[in-house]
Amino acid sequence: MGKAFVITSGKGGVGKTTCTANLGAGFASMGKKVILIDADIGLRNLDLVLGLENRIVFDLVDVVEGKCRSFRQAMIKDKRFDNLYLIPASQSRDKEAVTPEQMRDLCDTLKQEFDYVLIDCPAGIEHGFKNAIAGAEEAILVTTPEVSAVRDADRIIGLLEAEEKGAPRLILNRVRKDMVRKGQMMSIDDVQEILNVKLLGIVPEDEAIVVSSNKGEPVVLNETSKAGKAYREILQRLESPSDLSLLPSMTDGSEGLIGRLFRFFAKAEA
Amino acid sequence: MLGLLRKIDFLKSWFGDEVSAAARAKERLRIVLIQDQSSISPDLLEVLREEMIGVVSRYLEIDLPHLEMGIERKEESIALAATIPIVRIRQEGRALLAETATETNSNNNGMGKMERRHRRSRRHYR
Repeated sequence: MGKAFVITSGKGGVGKTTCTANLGAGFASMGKKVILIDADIGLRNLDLVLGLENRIVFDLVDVVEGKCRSFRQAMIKDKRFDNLYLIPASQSRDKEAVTPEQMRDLCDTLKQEFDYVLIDCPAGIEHGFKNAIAGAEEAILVTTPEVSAVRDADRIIGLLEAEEKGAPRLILNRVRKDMVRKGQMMSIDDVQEILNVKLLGIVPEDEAIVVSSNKGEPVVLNETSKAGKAYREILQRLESPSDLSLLPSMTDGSEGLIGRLFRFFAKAEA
Repeated sequence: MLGLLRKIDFLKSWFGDEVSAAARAKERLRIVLIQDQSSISPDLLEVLREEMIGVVSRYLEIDLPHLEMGIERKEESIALAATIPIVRIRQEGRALLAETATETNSNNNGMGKMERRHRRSRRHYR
């Protein structure tokens, strides 16, 4: 029996789809059998980030409406991994075309066969959000250290609680260490203190993300990129949640005065 | 010398003005989240309004079009504020008032009609 995660954020543009693609590709590279569901009906994008946009025949709405024989007909196999699949969103329909019950049934079916079911949630808190979270037992909350994104994340935490999904785990995305150090950007501690949820990982702002999206190749497979490394750490934590050595780590500027002075003078020497 | 000045600027950026952007963000978020989490839905407010009008109307004839009701937020508190303009006191209301508050209620009788019309009751519920 597999596990279903929903990747959600409230606010758009914080990196849900990129995150879903990377977790999916990452699990697949670890030998897990993974299926991704793009629940953003009407604004299909996960296919593009994965480089699978030319292979779509059927979509999520076709599956729940029974227009294809089974979900198997709609799922697209990844180019790189035989054990990674995608059920794309419909581009011509709207969010009301699917119900939470249908999503729950679909996820239950998929969990029989796959180790991980990852659902890419649309932005917002309306019908699409309710669909996306319906079939998941745990939520992964993506946010950036910006006031608007954190506020929306807090709203999502409340809604997940109301739907009895429990507390989500947090991925803090697009962190700029240099800005945090100068006090220009909220630190990991700041965001965690405000949202009060468990931290799953920190993904630094990285140009490699833009490049990899442009190419349709998930950054997690890029051995040298900072963001890729961050995603691989997140995958480890999802795989073995009890391993304490895998706790998120990144200098976020909370090194204290001595550390700052030390580095300042070290810089002056150089 | 110029190098030193630059270093001082650099130090300022660490300890001075720029520290506030993150701190400001955190403080603003803290306050806005208190407000978000205590927000009352328009539906609930409508139900409250209807029931309150029901209760008040048993005793007072009220100027409905000018009734104002809403949530007032201050720094760290939140209040339900209602302004209910009174047209006149109903007969039944007067009878009830006479029964329950013969001693304390001399105020109402001594008040002119116009005065009463413009008197506003303002209640705060925590």
